[in-house]
Amino acid sequence: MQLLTRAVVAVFGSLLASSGAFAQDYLPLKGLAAVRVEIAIDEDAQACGVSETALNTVASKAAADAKVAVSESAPATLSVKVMTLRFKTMDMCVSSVRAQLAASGYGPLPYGSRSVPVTYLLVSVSGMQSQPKDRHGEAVAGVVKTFADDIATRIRLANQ
Amino acid sequence: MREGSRIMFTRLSPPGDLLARAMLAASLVCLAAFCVAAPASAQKPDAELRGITVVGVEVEELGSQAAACGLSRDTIQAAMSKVLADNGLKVVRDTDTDTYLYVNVNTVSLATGLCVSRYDAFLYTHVSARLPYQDQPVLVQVSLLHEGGLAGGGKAGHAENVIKNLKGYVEQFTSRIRAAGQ
Repeated sequence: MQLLTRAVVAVFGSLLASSGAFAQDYLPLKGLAAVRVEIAIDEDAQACGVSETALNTVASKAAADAKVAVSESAPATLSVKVMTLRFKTMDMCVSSVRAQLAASGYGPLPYGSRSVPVTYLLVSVSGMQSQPKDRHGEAVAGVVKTFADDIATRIRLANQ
Repeated sequence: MREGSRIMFTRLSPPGDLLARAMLAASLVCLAAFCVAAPASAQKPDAELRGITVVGVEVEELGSQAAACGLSRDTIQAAMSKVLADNGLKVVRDTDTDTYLYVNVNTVSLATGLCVSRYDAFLYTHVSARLPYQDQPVLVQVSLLHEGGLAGGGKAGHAENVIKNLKGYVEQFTSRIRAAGQ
């Protein structure tokens, strides 16, 4: 089995460990106490055993475990998108998984003078998974758990 | 899709970014009172793109499997820069610019010789903004545009397919920027 996970984490482009960098990078998460969870998967993902309900459960549990409330009226959305290619002849599935935390707002942009509706990207994490079909759904759920745990932990740490 | 003797699969994300669209729609509803009072130009489609004339280009480093599948960071950077410049935008490199095209390609090379790449093009900017749950403004990234897809097939032609699709996305971006500015 070939198992590959590559994560690209973008919180202003980097994961920084020093306390000064931490404070700066996590400022946009300070004060955030609740998120809305949104899952989107395509038809091939479903055919490869990926379950929207299971991913919603995984992501919501990760948030709850980090003491981040899950609410439809939350000011930020934790979205997970899975896009899959299924290679039937090889019984293989390859998925890209992207988890993002974003909030909507309204304000001016650097090149404009008027206020407009905007989407603030707070955290973005992505990776890929490839497995035989019978193990793929579980593997994707594992990646979503890792990503959701990471995002939820950042929120928790920002609010300590 | 089938191209000659090669079989390639390409999965494209729905037009636009679903999250961004959903959130923008929600914000429009929540901020209806503000929008009613806002100038007409701010309510046009893609109002957030109006005024963009200069962009940076940042291509994320590619992994070894992407290179094994024929992808090159420099080639992608040059191709994206050319599309932007050909469509009237000033492209700046190696400088700190608020607004930039960000391209990310993740590739898996399967044991069978197949290559699968996830490719995304984003248009980002940075602003100092007060988030809905905060009292003070903070520096935050703004997602202006996003398109992405998944392509798989034999190594031959894989890189060309990925770059062709990325170029298509960036052409869409420039069209929308141009339309927003009119």
